[in-house]
Amino acid sequence: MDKMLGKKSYIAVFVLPALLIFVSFVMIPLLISGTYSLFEYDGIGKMRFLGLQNYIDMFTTDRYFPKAVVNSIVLVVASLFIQLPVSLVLALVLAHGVKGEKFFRTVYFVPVVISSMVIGQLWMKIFHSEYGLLNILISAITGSTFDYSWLSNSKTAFLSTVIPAVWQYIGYHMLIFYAGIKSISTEYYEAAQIDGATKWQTNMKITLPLLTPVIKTCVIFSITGSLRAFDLIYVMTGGGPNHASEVPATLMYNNLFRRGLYGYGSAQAFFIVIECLLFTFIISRIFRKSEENASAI
Amino acid sequence: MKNKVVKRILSAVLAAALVVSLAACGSSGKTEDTKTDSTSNNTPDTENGSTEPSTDEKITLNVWHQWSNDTNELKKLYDAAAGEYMEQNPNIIINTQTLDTEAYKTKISAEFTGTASGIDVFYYWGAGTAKKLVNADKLLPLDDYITDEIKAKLLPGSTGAFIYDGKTYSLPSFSWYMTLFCNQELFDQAGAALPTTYDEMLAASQKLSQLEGVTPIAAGAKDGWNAAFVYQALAMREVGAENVNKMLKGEIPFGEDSGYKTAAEKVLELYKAGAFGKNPLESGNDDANSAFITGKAAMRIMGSWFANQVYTDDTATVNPEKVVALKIPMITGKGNESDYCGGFIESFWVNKNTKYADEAAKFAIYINEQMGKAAYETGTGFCGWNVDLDESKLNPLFVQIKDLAGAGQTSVLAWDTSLDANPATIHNEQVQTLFAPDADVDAFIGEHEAAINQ
Repeated sequence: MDKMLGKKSYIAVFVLPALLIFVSFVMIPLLISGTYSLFEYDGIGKMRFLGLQNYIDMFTTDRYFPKAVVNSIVLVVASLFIQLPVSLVLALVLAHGVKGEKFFRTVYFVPVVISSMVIGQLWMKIFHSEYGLLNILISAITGSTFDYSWLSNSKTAFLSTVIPAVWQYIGYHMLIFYAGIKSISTEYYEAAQIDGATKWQTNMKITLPLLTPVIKTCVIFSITGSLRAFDLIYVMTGGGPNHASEVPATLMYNNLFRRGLYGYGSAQAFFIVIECLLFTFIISRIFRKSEENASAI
Repeated sequence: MKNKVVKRILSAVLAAALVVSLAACGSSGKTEDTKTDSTSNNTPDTENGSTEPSTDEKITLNVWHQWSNDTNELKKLYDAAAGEYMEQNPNIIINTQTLDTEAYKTKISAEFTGTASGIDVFYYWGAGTAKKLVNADKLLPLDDYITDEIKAKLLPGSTGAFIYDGKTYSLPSFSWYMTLFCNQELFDQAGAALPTTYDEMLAASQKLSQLEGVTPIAAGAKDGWNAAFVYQALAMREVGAENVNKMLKGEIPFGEDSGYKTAAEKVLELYKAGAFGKNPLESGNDDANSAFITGKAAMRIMGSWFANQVYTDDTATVNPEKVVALKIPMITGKGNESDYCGGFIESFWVNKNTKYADEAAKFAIYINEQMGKAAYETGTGFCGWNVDLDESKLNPLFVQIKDLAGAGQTSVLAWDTSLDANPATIHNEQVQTLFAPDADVDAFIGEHEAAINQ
């Protein structure tokens, strides 16, 4: 095997298929989008070169884009500080053996398997003003009819999409954490037990440090996933009412396919790509040190 | 040693297989487009056999439309018309392909970024929607093919949406008529009178809102174009159809007439009076249609095509005989009674890059006429051609609308089909803001001025 991998021609042959797919379905479309983003273009007619004007417009004349970016940051924060901690706690509890471990593992993972369209419909029903579960619950507690429309009110629309967005992927991150915890050698725990460490101490001093690479992966997934969030929000509010729950991806979709602003929409698409890459890079840098520490254990 | 050789061969074969399959994917991608979604009407008449002098080379026309559902009456009638055409013209094969509306729009846009070589004749919307294609010189003008005989058959004033710079790019097929549908039973229960003016509509709404579980007007405002219908109806009455048309064509700026603002205020007034229910932005077109046909809403402002659903929808519980079709209520002292919203917008067009311009143009003209007939005879829309029509199957509700439409003279198309894509989207979005408690009419007007008066 070593011999085979030592030959450059073999490496080339093996890498080629994946590389071809990657280049033709990721790199080339990305470059094309990048090119469109420098033009004024309606998808059919003539293209007019604008330089970076589209990117400048995003933050100067576009009244919705900065708000959408802020919304996506809110989603990032909610994912980091609600979704990941909850997933981690669930993973810790499950990994250390509870009754019905397999059952709970499956149950928490169910939302990940279900299509976002279905999840969106589900939560739209929960938030519905007349027959929504939430309002029925509030009515039952307060004793008077409560018919607030969560999704069609600009004050609560975005928040109402953040909740399912955070909820949906808890199971996903939980499973990654769970697998990570399971792969830690039990010897460490046995040694800690002999030394009289409490559960809390073993979690803090052994599990978490050794889990750092996994946490890093989850943080990157979580952040990039939030930055390019689209499907759930599109289904539930479509970015409305009056652009209150807009995120960059819903604006991009609107500009590209509704308004026929291909150039401007491409610029927004490209912005999302750059933003995700930038965050991935920053997170990797932040985690580099703690990863080194972890490997030193 | 032997093992190693086998491994090497195996790995080489595997890698080769991957590369080959990838290459295969790449090359088949091009032809795939024209093969998929093909419907089954490319069956030229076999009864005539080959007795005809079919020495001519067979010509295949690729035709695209958006009636993709097999239960759709228009699709069946299209298939029949295309079959008949092939019978009459044995050298022509009509190869039809369909997609659902939204996917269809995207597909047509994507195809026409290139030469759209797989499309000869296609269904599309005129006025502002096709303008982009006309400007990019993608469509074939049909002037050379429109004989005096054809001209004589066209209804007067039905071609406006298909003429750009004096050239006619398509001919009308069928038109629609914006109607106020009312559920007489609910009006009786609430002790309200069927409205002929805006004030009566407001008064009726207030009475109807007292009924338990009934929304006076099902607006469907979650879908922008549904919300826009309500505003467009009132703006047409406030400003007058002719003025609205001038504004849509860019001849006079939006907002010059104060009626646009008054119309917005009236939508808001209706909302505040509870006419649209408490949370109109929560329900879309389908919800609103469903609310009306199940007797949970007393009024619905919709196109004439909705009449059909009152009869054919399995879930309908409303008594069709108790549904009344009215024209959009007048605003006292303003507008003309003969103004209406609706008109001719949908039809078949010819790709300029088609290999068979003559054949494609002739088929486009033929199918427009046939679909106009078909739409009328099924009670979907009004035929743009002066031809014999079979009225035996028309439902009574559609006959009511027909009488209303007969009195119509000047029409305004739905704004989102008249305007360019960008202002059209902004218009639909902005009207939605009027259906919320924090509506700001001045901002609404400002946004429209910025988008339309460019």
